[in-house]
Amino acid sequence: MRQIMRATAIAVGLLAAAGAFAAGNSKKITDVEASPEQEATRHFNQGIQLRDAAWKAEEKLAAESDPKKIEKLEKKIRGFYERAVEEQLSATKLNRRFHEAYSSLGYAYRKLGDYTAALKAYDTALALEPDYPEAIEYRGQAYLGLNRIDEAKKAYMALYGNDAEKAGMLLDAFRAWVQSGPDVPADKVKEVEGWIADRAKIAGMTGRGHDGGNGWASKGHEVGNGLEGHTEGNGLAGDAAGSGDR
Amino acid sequence: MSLAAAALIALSSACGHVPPETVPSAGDPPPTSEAHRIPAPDLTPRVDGGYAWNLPPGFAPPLVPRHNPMSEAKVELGRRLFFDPAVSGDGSLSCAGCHRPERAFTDGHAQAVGATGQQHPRSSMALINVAYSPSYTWVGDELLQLEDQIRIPLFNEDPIEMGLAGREREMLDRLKADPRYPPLFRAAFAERGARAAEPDVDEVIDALAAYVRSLISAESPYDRRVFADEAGALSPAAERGMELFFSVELACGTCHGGIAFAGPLRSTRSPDTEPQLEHNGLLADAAARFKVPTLRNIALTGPYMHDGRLATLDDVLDHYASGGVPGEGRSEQIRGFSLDEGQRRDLLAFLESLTDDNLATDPRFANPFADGMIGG
Repeated sequence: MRQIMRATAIAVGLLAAAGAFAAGNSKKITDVEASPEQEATRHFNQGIQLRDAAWKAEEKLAAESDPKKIEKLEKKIRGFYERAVEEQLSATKLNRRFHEAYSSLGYAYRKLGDYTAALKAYDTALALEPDYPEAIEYRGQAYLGLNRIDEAKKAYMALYGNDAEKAGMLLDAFRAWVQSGPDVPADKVKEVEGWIADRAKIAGMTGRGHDGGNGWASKGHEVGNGLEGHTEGNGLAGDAAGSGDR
Repeated sequence: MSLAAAALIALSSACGHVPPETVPSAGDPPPTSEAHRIPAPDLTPRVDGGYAWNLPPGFAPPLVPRHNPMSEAKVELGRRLFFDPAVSGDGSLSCAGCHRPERAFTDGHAQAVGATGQQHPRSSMALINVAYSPSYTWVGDELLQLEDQIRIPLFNEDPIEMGLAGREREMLDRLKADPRYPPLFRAAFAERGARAAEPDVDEVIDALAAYVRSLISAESPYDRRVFADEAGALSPAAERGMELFFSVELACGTCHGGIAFAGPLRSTRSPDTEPQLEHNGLLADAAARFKVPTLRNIALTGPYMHDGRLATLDDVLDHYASGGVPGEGRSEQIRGFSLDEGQRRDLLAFLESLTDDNLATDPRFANPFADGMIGG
């Protein structure tokens, strides 16, 4: 709701400014001052649009075979994420309670390969909003990228009770981690495989099913699909809270 | 694994596309410059007067009626009132007389007994996690708020439970005369100012409701296994029993589902949940539909069923294994099943693993009176 209000405030401000400009008022649109929070939202939205642009380019990259075009696309994608970092940094400087912006900053850093900065950004997002599922999931994926498996498991458990969808996404990331042939002892990989199977079984049984469930939802039972106030439409560009990982 | 190797991790996505984890780089990322330093967050606490629920994993904040917001002071007042026989008509029976913490807030009797000795036709219901119930009492699908439900035991005359009808003034005078209460009422209902030292019945009910709404707990071996990832929390028998419980054949979890192992839940995540009653095959009457009770702490809450007619969990399993009384209205999930002796032991072990050992000792729930006075 807070985010909706922020976005609405910007829209209302711009409409008022446009109206004044059209009426021949001497004030220009650029004279209308946005609050630091509104400015932060604007940067955040631009960062999300850059992330979305990167995703589109990634889709093209996946279908491309020409080495020259691949190189060009990779450069373009990197540019999008670098600019997204700039926007989210601006957003967090203007609004130091903006947990969504810290989380999106972490995502952009992670896509650029800077796991240290990514973790710091996720930690900050979660210091502000400890139950924010997106940051928990993203941080879990960052931990996987660093082979910090026990911490990634804790991220999964934090999601398990509160956001079945994101917990399922993180469990998929664990599966992808196993398939990637990680540079860890074979017995560790085997242990993680067993853990994935166990958690998938429990999720399926108890109705938090990433792999099905038992129909509780159709009986009206609460199955923990999302945190109230976090995953509902937030009025921010790209619906960052519900975007999932890529 | 290097960061370059990390880039090989393929992640799933909603659209099926699998992009690389990171964008290929010419080298390691540059060290973070001053301009790229992540701003320190503003962690000054928000002043919203919120109540700290201390919810277990998986539990959403409960819905709270607008007129009766939660506060520590109100819950504390409600806790004292709950354990105080002064709240009944003749000063002989507290709420805790029929809802004892060590029995998961039931009383151990088949059917409850009121302040004047009259027997209630039904069994005391457990109160843990009732904040999530979309309706209250065994058959009430219209009592949607705890505040409304609490009036039933207080004022019911057939049978008499707390026996307060017509004796409200006596009860309020007892509370007023007890020096412990006026400051508690003032703290709980501060918005009333000086008038708060004169308690009224609605405030007693609101405070009781706040306390009962605060009775949220889930610290059983099952919770440690499922929500805390503690592999050895369940015995091997309970682990096998869990699979039976949730199996398609037994389908226990279909009715006793969700975090409360009860019927549908209502919370801030699912505020519009409708009340639901089920016919459990116990009675031939097609209209004999009851609320699905929680199975959490079920080992502590016998005798069982709406009227306590089944003494043990073994008896309950016999009933559901038989499929109960066939007929119109019976829940389609009640269709009978067979268990061998080992499976029966496993299923019972699982049901016992739903016991929250914290209930009897949790200071948040405990009798606040040093003399331990509990009527009834």
